[in-house]
Amino acid sequence: MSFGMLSFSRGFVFRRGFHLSPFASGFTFHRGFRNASPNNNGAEYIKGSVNEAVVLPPRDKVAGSYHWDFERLLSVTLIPLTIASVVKGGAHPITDLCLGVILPFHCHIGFDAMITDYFPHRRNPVLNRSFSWGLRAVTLIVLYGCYEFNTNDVGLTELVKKVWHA
Amino acid sequence: MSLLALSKNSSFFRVSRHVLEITTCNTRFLTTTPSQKAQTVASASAGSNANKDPLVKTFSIYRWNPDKPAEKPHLQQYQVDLNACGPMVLDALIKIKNEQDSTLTFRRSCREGICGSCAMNISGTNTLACLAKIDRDASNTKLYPLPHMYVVKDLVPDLTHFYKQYKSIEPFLKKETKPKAGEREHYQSIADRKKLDGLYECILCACCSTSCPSYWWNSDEYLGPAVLLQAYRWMIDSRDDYAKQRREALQNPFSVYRCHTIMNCTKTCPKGLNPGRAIAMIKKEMALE
Repeated sequence: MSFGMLSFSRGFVFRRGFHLSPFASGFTFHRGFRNASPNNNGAEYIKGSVNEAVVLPPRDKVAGSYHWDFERLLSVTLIPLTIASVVKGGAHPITDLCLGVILPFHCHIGFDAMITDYFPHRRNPVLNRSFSWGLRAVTLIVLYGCYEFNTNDVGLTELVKKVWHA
Repeated sequence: MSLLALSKNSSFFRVSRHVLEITTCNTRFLTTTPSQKAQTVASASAGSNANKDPLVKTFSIYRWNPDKPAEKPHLQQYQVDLNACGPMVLDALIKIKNEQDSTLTFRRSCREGICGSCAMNISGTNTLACLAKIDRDASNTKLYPLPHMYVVKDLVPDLTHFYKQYKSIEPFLKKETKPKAGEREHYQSIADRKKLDGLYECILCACCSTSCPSYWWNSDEYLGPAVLLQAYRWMIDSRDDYAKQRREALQNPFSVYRCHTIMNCTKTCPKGLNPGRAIAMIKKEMALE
Protein backbone atom coordinates (compact mmCIF):
# COMPACT_ATOMS: atom_id res chain seq x y z
CA MET A 1 0.00 0.00 0.00
CA SER A 2 2.87 2.38 0.75
CA PHE A 3 4.39 1.52 -2.63
CA GLY A 4 1.10 2.46 -4.25
CA MET A 5 1.06 5.86 -2.52
CA LEU A 6 4.67 6.49 -3.49
CA SER A 7 3.92 5.77 -7.11
CA PHE A 8 0.95 8.14 -7.01
CA SER A 9 3.16 11.07 -5.99
CA ARG A 10 5.72 10.08 -8.62
CA GLY A 11 2.97 10.08 -11.19
CA PHE A 12 2.07 13.67 -10.37
CA VAL A 13 5.71 14.65 -10.67
CA PHE A 14 5.65 13.43 -14.25
CA ARG A 15 9.15 12.02 -14.55
CA ARG A 16 10.90 14.66 -12.44
CA GLY A 17 12.18 14.21 -8.94
CA PHE A 18 10.09 15.10 -5.93
CA HIS A 19 10.27 18.89 -5.96
CA LEU A 20 9.81 20.82 -2.72
CA SER A 21 10.88 24.39 -3.37
CA PRO A 22 8.81 27.07 -1.62
CA PHE A 23 11.10 29.81 -2.92
CA ALA A 24 10.84 28.83 -6.58
CA SER A 25 7.56 30.69 -7.06
CA GLY A 26 8.67 33.70 -5.05
CA PHE A 27 6.86 32.99 -1.80
CA THR A 28 8.35 34.44 1.37
CA PHE A 29 7.68 33.53 4.98
CA HIS A 30 5.79 36.81 5.39
CA ARG A 31 2.94 35.14 3.48
CA GLY A 32 2.29 32.82 6.37
CA PHE A 33 2.93 29.25 7.20
CA ARG A 34 0.42 27.78 4.76
CA ASN A 35 2.57 28.91 1.84
CA ALA A 36 5.83 27.62 3.24
CA SER A 37 5.32 24.21 1.65
CA PRO A 38 3.01 24.25 -1.34
CA ASN A 39 1.00 21.05 -1.16
CA ASN A 40 0.95 20.11 -4.80
CA ASN A 41 2.99 16.89 -4.69
CA GLY A 42 5.80 18.57 -6.59
CA ALA A 43 3.77 19.36 -9.70
CA GLU A 44 5.38 22.56 -10.90
CA TYR A 45 2.52 23.63 -13.08
CA ILE A 46 0.38 24.10 -9.97
CA LYS A 47 1.31 27.30 -8.15
CA GLY A 48 0.62 27.17 -4.46
CA SER A 49 -1.37 24.45 -2.74
CA VAL A 50 -4.06 22.47 -4.50
CA ASN A 51 -6.72 24.16 -2.35
CA GLU A 52 -5.77 27.76 -3.12
CA ALA A 53 -7.60 29.64 -5.83
CA VAL A 54 -5.65 30.78 -8.85
CA VAL A 55 -4.47 34.38 -8.51
CA LEU A 56 -6.04 36.43 -11.29
CA PRO A 57 -3.74 38.86 -13.12
CA PRO A 58 -3.70 42.51 -11.93
CA ARG A 59 -6.68 44.60 -13.05
CA ASP A 60 -6.03 46.83 -16.02
CA LYS A 61 -9.00 48.23 -17.89
CA VAL A 62 -6.82 49.64 -20.68
CA ALA A 63 -5.53 46.18 -21.53
CA GLY A 64 -8.94 44.69 -20.77
CA SER A 65 -12.31 46.04 -21.84
CA TYR A 66 -11.05 49.34 -23.31
CA HIS A 67 -8.74 47.44 -25.66
CA TRP A 68 -11.59 45.17 -26.71
CA ASP A 69 -13.91 48.16 -27.24
CA PHE A 70 -11.32 49.94 -29.39
CA GLU A 71 -10.68 46.85 -31.48
CA ARG A 72 -14.39 46.37 -32.22
CA LEU A 73 -14.78 50.09 -32.94
CA LEU A 74 -12.08 49.90 -35.61
CA SER A 75 -13.61 46.76 -37.12
CA VAL A 76 -17.07 48.33 -37.24
CA THR A 77 -15.71 51.52 -38.83
CA LEU A 78 -14.01 49.52 -41.55
CA ILE A 79 -17.27 48.08 -42.87
CA PRO A 80 -18.87 51.25 -44.22
CA LEU A 81 -15.42 52.57 -45.14
CA THR A 82 -14.64 49.59 -47.37
CA ILE A 83 -18.08 49.70 -48.95
CA ALA A 84 -17.67 53.41 -49.58
CA SER A 85 -14.30 52.96 -51.25
CA VAL A 86 -15.67 50.17 -53.43
CA VAL A 87 -18.90 51.88 -54.45
CA LYS A 88 -18.02 55.54 -54.87
CA GLY A 89 -16.19 56.83 -57.89
CA GLY A 90 -15.32 60.20 -56.40
CA ALA A 91 -14.21 60.80 -52.81
CA HIS A 92 -11.05 58.73 -52.95
CA PRO A 93 -8.88 61.03 -50.85
CA ILE A 94 -11.09 60.87 -47.76
CA THR A 95 -11.64 57.11 -47.80
CA ASP A 96 -7.97 56.55 -48.64
CA LEU A 97 -6.89 58.67 -45.71
CA CYS A 98 -9.21 56.87 -43.31
CA LEU A 99 -8.28 53.45 -44.66
CA GLY A 100 -4.59 54.33 -44.50
CA VAL A 101 -4.91 55.03 -40.80
CA ILE A 102 -7.52 52.52 -39.64
CA LEU A 103 -6.29 49.49 -41.61
CA PRO A 104 -2.73 49.51 -40.15
CA PHE A 105 -4.13 49.90 -36.62
CA HIS A 106 -6.68 47.12 -37.19
CA CYS A 107 -3.97 44.78 -38.48
CA HIS A 108 -1.64 45.77 -35.65
CA ILE A 109 -4.24 44.80 -33.05
CA GLY A 110 -4.87 41.51 -34.87
CA PHE A 111 -1.19 40.58 -34.99
CA ASP A 112 -0.71 41.72 -31.40
CA ALA A 113 -3.44 39.29 -30.35
CA MET A 114 -1.57 36.50 -32.11
CA ILE A 115 1.65 37.41 -30.29
CA THR A 116 -0.17 37.44 -26.93
CA ASP A 117 -1.74 34.07 -27.70
CA TYR A 118 1.34 32.18 -28.84
CA PHE A 119 4.17 34.04 -27.11
CA PRO A 120 2.72 35.36 -23.83
CA HIS A 121 5.19 37.36 -21.81
CA ARG A 122 4.98 35.05 -18.80
CA ARG A 123 6.20 32.12 -20.93
CA ASN A 124 8.35 33.65 -23.69
CA PRO A 125 9.42 37.07 -22.37
CA VAL A 126 12.21 37.64 -24.90
CA LEU A 127 10.26 36.54 -27.98
CA ASN A 128 7.23 38.48 -26.80
CA ARG A 129 9.18 41.70 -26.40
CA SER A 130 11.08 41.34 -29.68
CA PHE A 131 7.96 40.47 -31.69
CA SER A 132 5.95 43.26 -30.07
CA TRP A 133 8.54 45.91 -30.81
CA GLY A 134 9.05 44.52 -34.30
CA LEU A 135 5.30 44.74 -34.88
CA ARG A 136 5.20 48.34 -33.66
CA ALA A 137 8.04 49.27 -35.98
CA VAL A 138 6.35 47.60 -38.94
CA THR A 139 3.04 49.32 -38.18
CA LEU A 140 4.76 52.71 -38.14
CA ILE A 141 6.43 51.94 -41.44
CA VAL A 142 3.09 50.85 -42.94
CA LEU A 143 1.40 54.01 -41.65
CA TYR A 144 4.08 56.11 -43.25
CA GLY A 145 3.90 54.01 -46.40
CA CYS A 146 0.14 54.44 -46.67
CA TYR A 147 0.54 58.19 -46.22
CA GLU A 148 3.20 58.31 -48.94
CA PHE A 149 1.15 56.11 -51.26
CA ASN A 150 -2.02 58.14 -50.75
CA THR A 151 -0.26 61.48 -51.18
CA ASN A 152 2.29 60.93 -53.92
CA ASP A 153 0.85 57.93 -55.72
CA VAL A 154 -2.54 56.66 -56.90
CA GLY A 155 -3.93 55.84 -53.44
CA LEU A 156 -5.20 52.63 -51.81
CA THR A 157 -8.59 52.47 -53.52
CA GLU A 158 -7.07 53.02 -56.95
CA LEU A 159 -4.42 50.39 -56.22
CA VAL A 160 -7.04 47.77 -55.41
CA LYS A 161 -9.01 48.73 -58.51
CA LYS A 162 -5.96 48.38 -60.72
CA VAL A 163 -4.98 45.03 -59.26
CA TRP A 164 -8.57 43.80 -59.54
CA HIS A 165 -8.92 44.71 -63.19
CA ALA A 166 -5.37 43.87 -64.20
CA MET B 1 -33.80 0.81 7.95
CA SER B 2 -34.48 2.60 11.25
CA LEU B 3 -36.60 5.13 9.38
CA LEU B 4 -38.72 2.28 8.12
CA ALA B 5 -39.14 0.94 11.64
CA LEU B 6 -40.39 4.32 12.84
CA SER B 7 -42.90 4.61 10.06
CA LYS B 8 -44.17 1.03 10.20
CA ASN B 9 -47.43 1.92 11.86
CA SER B 10 -48.27 4.85 9.65
CA SER B 11 -50.48 3.93 6.69
CA PHE B 12 -49.14 6.88 4.74
CA PHE B 13 -45.69 5.38 4.65
CA ARG B 14 -46.79 1.85 3.88
CA VAL B 15 -46.78 2.32 0.11
CA SER B 16 -43.42 4.07 0.08
CA ARG B 17 -42.03 1.36 2.35
CA HIS B 18 -42.86 -1.30 -0.20
CA VAL B 19 -41.26 0.75 -2.96
CA LEU B 20 -38.15 1.26 -0.86
CA GLU B 21 -37.95 -2.41 -0.02
CA ILE B 22 -38.31 -3.45 -3.64
CA THR B 23 -35.55 -1.19 -4.81
CA THR B 24 -33.09 -1.59 -1.96
CA CYS B 25 -33.52 -5.18 -0.78
CA ASN B 26 -34.81 -6.85 -3.87
CA THR B 27 -33.44 -10.22 -2.93
CA ARG B 28 -35.71 -10.61 0.10
CA PHE B 29 -38.76 -8.36 -0.20
CA LEU B 30 -39.52 -8.66 -3.89
CA THR B 31 -43.32 -8.60 -4.18
CA THR B 32 -43.53 -8.96 -7.96
CA THR B 33 -43.60 -12.44 -9.43
CA PRO B 34 -40.89 -13.15 -11.98
CA SER B 35 -42.62 -13.25 -15.36
CA GLN B 36 -41.29 -14.68 -18.58
CA LYS B 37 -40.88 -11.17 -19.98
CA ALA B 38 -38.79 -10.18 -16.97
CA GLN B 39 -36.68 -13.29 -17.47
CA THR B 40 -35.86 -12.50 -21.10
CA VAL B 41 -35.02 -8.90 -20.21
CA ALA B 42 -32.80 -10.12 -17.39
CA SER B 43 -30.97 -12.61 -19.58
CA ALA B 44 -30.40 -10.02 -22.30
CA SER B 45 -28.92 -7.53 -19.87
CA ALA B 46 -26.82 -10.28 -18.31
CA GLY B 47 -25.01 -10.61 -21.60
CA SER B 48 -26.28 -13.65 -23.43
CA ASN B 49 -26.33 -13.16 -27.18
CA ALA B 50 -27.99 -16.38 -28.21
CA ASN B 51 -30.01 -14.65 -30.93
CA LYS B 52 -27.28 -12.41 -32.46
CA ASP B 53 -23.89 -13.03 -34.02
CA PRO B 54 -21.05 -11.45 -32.11
CA LEU B 55 -20.40 -7.91 -33.39
CA VAL B 56 -16.76 -7.44 -32.48
CA LYS B 57 -15.32 -3.93 -32.58
CA THR B 58 -11.91 -2.59 -31.66
CA PHE B 59 -11.34 0.01 -28.97
CA SER B 60 -7.97 1.79 -29.13
CA ILE B 61 -7.35 3.20 -25.69
CA TYR B 62 -4.56 5.53 -24.57
CA ARG B 63 -2.43 3.86 -21.91
CA TRP B 64 0.29 5.30 -19.74
CA ASN B 65 1.48 3.98 -16.41
CA PRO B 66 3.04 6.43 -13.91
CA ASP B 67 4.66 3.47 -12.16
CA LYS B 68 6.69 2.92 -15.33
CA PRO B 69 7.16 6.50 -16.50
CA ALA B 70 9.91 5.63 -19.00
CA GLU B 71 7.45 3.61 -21.08
CA LYS B 72 5.93 5.93 -23.64
CA PRO B 73 2.17 6.39 -23.80
CA HIS B 74 0.66 4.07 -26.39
CA LEU B 75 -2.66 2.94 -27.79
CA GLN B 76 -3.76 -0.49 -26.67
CA GLN B 77 -6.33 -2.37 -28.73
CA TYR B 78 -9.23 -4.24 -27.12
CA GLN B 79 -11.86 -6.36 -28.89
CA VAL B 80 -15.39 -6.05 -27.55
CA ASP B 81 -18.53 -7.88 -28.64
CA LEU B 82 -21.03 -5.05 -28.86
CA ASN B 83 -23.96 -7.47 -28.70
CA ALA B 84 -22.85 -8.51 -25.24
CA CYS B 85 -22.23 -4.98 -24.07
CA GLY B 86 -24.30 -1.97 -23.10
CA PRO B 87 -24.77 0.80 -25.65
CA MET B 88 -22.50 3.44 -24.14
CA VAL B 89 -18.73 3.78 -24.29
CA LEU B 90 -18.60 3.59 -20.50
CA ASP B 91 -20.26 0.17 -20.67
CA ALA B 92 -17.50 -0.99 -23.01
CA LEU B 93 -14.82 0.44 -20.73
CA ILE B 94 -16.25 -1.32 -17.69
CA LYS B 95 -16.60 -4.54 -19.67
CA ILE B 96 -12.94 -4.32 -20.73
CA LYS B 97 -11.86 -3.62 -17.17
CA ASN B 98 -13.93 -6.51 -15.82
CA GLU B 99 -13.15 -9.16 -18.40
CA GLN B 100 -9.91 -8.27 -20.17
CA ASP B 101 -7.61 -5.79 -18.46
CA SER B 102 -8.25 -4.74 -14.89
CA THR B 103 -5.37 -2.25 -14.98
CA LEU B 104 -7.32 0.05 -17.33
CA THR B 105 -7.91 3.23 -15.32
CA PHE B 106 -10.65 5.79 -15.81
CA ARG B 107 -12.94 7.97 -13.72
CA ARG B 108 -16.64 7.16 -13.52
CA SER B 109 -19.45 7.55 -11.02
CA CYS B 110 -23.08 8.20 -11.92
CA ARG B 111 -23.27 6.48 -15.35
CA GLU B 112 -26.03 8.92 -16.31
CA GLY B 113 -24.27 12.09 -17.42
CA ILE B 114 -24.70 14.19 -14.30
CA CYS B 115 -21.46 13.86 -12.34
CA GLY B 116 -18.97 14.71 -15.07
CA SER B 117 -16.36 12.15 -13.97
CA CYS B 118 -16.06 10.14 -17.20
CA ALA B 119 -15.18 13.08 -19.46
CA MET B 120 -12.74 11.97 -22.15
CA ASN B 121 -11.95 12.34 -25.84
CA ILE B 122 -13.96 9.76 -27.77
CA SER B 123 -13.15 9.51 -31.49
CA GLY B 124 -11.94 13.09 -31.51
CA THR B 125 -14.76 14.65 -29.50
CA ASN B 126 -14.74 15.56 -25.83
CA THR B 127 -17.82 14.00 -24.22
CA LEU B 128 -18.94 11.93 -21.28
CA ALA B 129 -18.31 8.23 -21.81
CA CYS B 130 -21.60 7.36 -20.15
CA LEU B 131 -23.55 9.43 -22.68
CA ALA B 132 -21.56 8.61 -25.82
CA LYS B 133 -23.14 5.77 -27.78
CA ILE B 134 -20.71 3.29 -29.25
CA ASP B 135 -20.59 3.77 -33.01
CA ARG B 136 -21.70 0.39 -34.30
CA ASP B 137 -20.65 1.20 -37.85
CA ALA B 138 -17.09 2.33 -37.15
CA SER B 139 -14.56 -0.47 -36.95
CA ASN B 140 -12.42 1.33 -34.38
CA THR B 141 -13.22 3.70 -31.51
CA LYS B 142 -10.34 5.78 -30.16
CA LEU B 143 -10.34 6.81 -26.51
CA TYR B 144 -7.97 9.50 -25.33
CA PRO B 145 -7.86 11.52 -22.13
CA LEU B 146 -9.01 15.15 -22.32
CA PRO B 147 -6.60 16.98 -24.65
CA HIS B 148 -3.69 19.09 -23.41
CA MET B 149 -4.05 17.97 -19.81
CA TYR B 150 -1.41 16.36 -17.63
CA VAL B 151 -2.24 12.67 -17.36
CA VAL B 152 -2.31 10.95 -13.99
CA LYS B 153 -2.81 7.49 -15.51
CA ASP B 154 -4.42 6.09 -18.67
CA LEU B 155 -7.59 8.14 -19.21
CA VAL B 156 -7.41 10.16 -15.98
CA PRO B 157 -6.41 13.85 -16.42
CA ASP B 158 -5.14 16.14 -13.67
CA LEU B 159 -7.88 18.72 -13.15
CA THR B 160 -6.27 20.50 -10.19
CA HIS B 161 -5.59 23.73 -12.05
CA PHE B 162 -9.11 23.66 -13.51
CA TYR B 163 -10.61 23.52 -10.01
CA LYS B 164 -8.27 26.24 -8.78
CA GLN B 165 -9.48 28.48 -11.59
CA TYR B 166 -13.08 27.70 -10.67
CA LYS B 167 -12.38 28.73 -7.10
CA SER B 168 -10.85 32.03 -8.24
CA ILE B 169 -14.15 33.35 -9.63
CA GLU B 170 -15.80 32.94 -6.19
CA PRO B 171 -18.71 30.69 -7.25
CA PHE B 172 -20.94 31.49 -4.29
CA LEU B 173 -23.58 34.02 -3.39
CA LYS B 174 -22.16 37.30 -2.09
CA LYS B 175 -24.44 39.86 -0.52
CA GLU B 176 -23.63 43.36 0.68
CA THR B 177 -25.74 43.16 3.83
CA LYS B 178 -26.47 40.28 6.13
CA PRO B 179 -30.06 39.01 6.06
CA LYS B 180 -32.36 40.62 8.61
CA ALA B 181 -33.61 38.68 11.61
CA GLY B 182 -36.92 37.40 10.17
CA GLU B 183 -35.83 37.02 6.53
CA ARG B 184 -34.75 33.55 5.54
CA GLU B 185 -35.10 33.56 1.77
CA HIS B 186 -33.45 35.52 -1.00
CA TYR B 187 -36.41 36.34 -3.19
CA GLN B 188 -36.04 36.03 -6.94
CA SER B 189 -38.63 36.58 -9.63
CA ILE B 190 -39.45 33.90 -12.17
CA ALA B 191 -37.98 36.03 -14.95
CA ASP B 192 -34.71 36.42 -13.06
CA ARG B 193 -34.60 32.69 -12.36
CA LYS B 194 -35.06 32.03 -16.08
CA LYS B 195 -31.82 33.87 -16.77
CA LEU B 196 -29.95 31.11 -14.96
CA ASP B 197 -31.32 28.38 -17.25
CA GLY B 198 -28.53 27.02 -19.40
CA LEU B 199 -25.94 28.12 -16.86
CA TYR B 200 -26.63 26.28 -13.63
CA GLU B 201 -26.73 22.85 -15.32
CA CYS B 202 -22.96 22.86 -15.85
CA ILE B 203 -21.43 19.77 -14.24
CA LEU B 204 -17.83 21.01 -14.54
CA CYS B 205 -16.77 18.02 -16.61
CA ALA B 206 -14.10 20.19 -18.34
CA CYS B 207 -15.04 18.96 -21.82
CA CYS B 208 -15.44 22.51 -23.12
CA SER B 209 -12.31 24.02 -21.60
CA THR B 210 -10.16 21.19 -22.87
CA SER B 211 -11.60 21.58 -26.35
CA CYS B 212 -10.61 25.25 -26.55
CA PRO B 213 -7.31 25.96 -28.37
CA SER B 214 -6.90 29.20 -26.41
CA TYR B 215 -7.13 27.16 -23.22
CA TRP B 216 -4.58 24.70 -24.61
CA TRP B 217 -2.03 27.45 -25.22
CA ASN B 218 -2.80 29.67 -22.22
CA SER B 219 -4.43 27.56 -19.51
CA ASP B 220 -2.25 29.31 -16.90
CA GLU B 221 -4.11 32.58 -17.19
CA TYR B 222 -7.08 32.13 -19.51
CA LEU B 223 -9.96 30.84 -17.37
CA GLY B 224 -11.60 28.72 -20.06
CA PRO B 225 -15.25 28.36 -21.09
CA ALA B 226 -16.40 26.23 -18.13
CA VAL B 227 -15.16 28.65 -15.49
CA LEU B 228 -16.35 31.67 -17.47
CA LEU B 229 -19.81 30.12 -17.83
CA GLN B 230 -19.98 29.87 -14.05
CA ALA B 231 -18.58 33.39 -13.66
CA TYR B 232 -21.43 34.62 -15.83
CA ARG B 233 -23.92 32.50 -13.87
CA TRP B 234 -22.99 34.39 -10.71
CA MET B 235 -22.75 37.75 -12.46
CA ILE B 236 -26.36 37.68 -13.64
CA ASP B 237 -27.83 36.07 -10.54
CA SER B 238 -30.23 38.72 -9.26
CA ARG B 239 -29.62 37.63 -5.68
CA ASP B 240 -25.90 38.41 -5.93
CA ASP B 241 -24.76 41.95 -5.05
CA TYR B 242 -21.19 41.80 -6.32
CA ALA B 243 -21.71 41.65 -10.12
CA LYS B 244 -19.60 44.76 -10.71
CA GLN B 245 -16.70 43.42 -8.67
CA ARG B 246 -16.92 40.08 -10.46
CA ARG B 247 -16.58 41.87 -13.80
CA GLU B 248 -13.73 44.02 -12.52
CA ALA B 249 -11.79 40.95 -11.46
CA LEU B 250 -11.71 39.87 -15.11
CA GLN B 251 -10.30 43.18 -16.39
CA ASN B 252 -7.03 41.92 -17.84
CA PRO B 253 -5.94 40.71 -21.25
CA PHE B 254 -6.03 37.03 -20.30
CA SER B 255 -8.89 35.93 -18.07
CA VAL B 256 -11.65 36.52 -20.62
CA TYR B 257 -10.12 38.11 -23.68
CA ARG B 258 -8.15 35.13 -24.90
CA CYS B 259 -11.50 33.89 -26.21
CA HIS B 260 -11.63 34.43 -29.97
CA THR B 261 -15.05 32.83 -30.42
CA ILE B 262 -13.65 29.59 -31.75
CA MET B 263 -16.84 27.95 -30.37
CA ASN B 264 -15.40 24.46 -29.88
CA CYS B 265 -16.84 24.69 -26.39
CA THR B 266 -20.48 24.94 -27.40
CA LYS B 267 -20.02 22.28 -30.04
CA THR B 268 -18.63 19.74 -27.57
CA CYS B 269 -20.68 20.36 -24.42
CA PRO B 270 -22.27 16.99 -23.51
CA LYS B 271 -25.05 18.76 -21.61
CA GLY B 272 -25.97 21.01 -24.55
CA LEU B 273 -24.95 24.25 -22.83
CA ASN B 274 -23.57 27.32 -24.58
CA PRO B 275 -20.39 28.61 -22.93
CA GLY B 276 -19.46 30.60 -26.04
CA ARG B 277 -22.57 32.70 -25.69
CA ALA B 278 -21.98 33.20 -21.97
CA ILE B 279 -18.47 34.49 -22.69
CA ALA B 280 -19.87 36.85 -25.32
CA MET B 281 -22.36 38.16 -22.76
CA ILE B 282 -19.54 38.72 -20.27
CA LYS B 283 -17.63 40.69 -22.91
CA LYS B 284 -20.73 42.69 -23.67
CA GLU B 285 -21.33 43.54 -20.02
CA MET B 286 -17.70 44.46 -19.51
CA ALA B 287 -17.61 46.59 -22.64
CA LEU B 288 -20.27 48.92 -21.33
CA GLU B 289 -18.40 49.75 -18.14
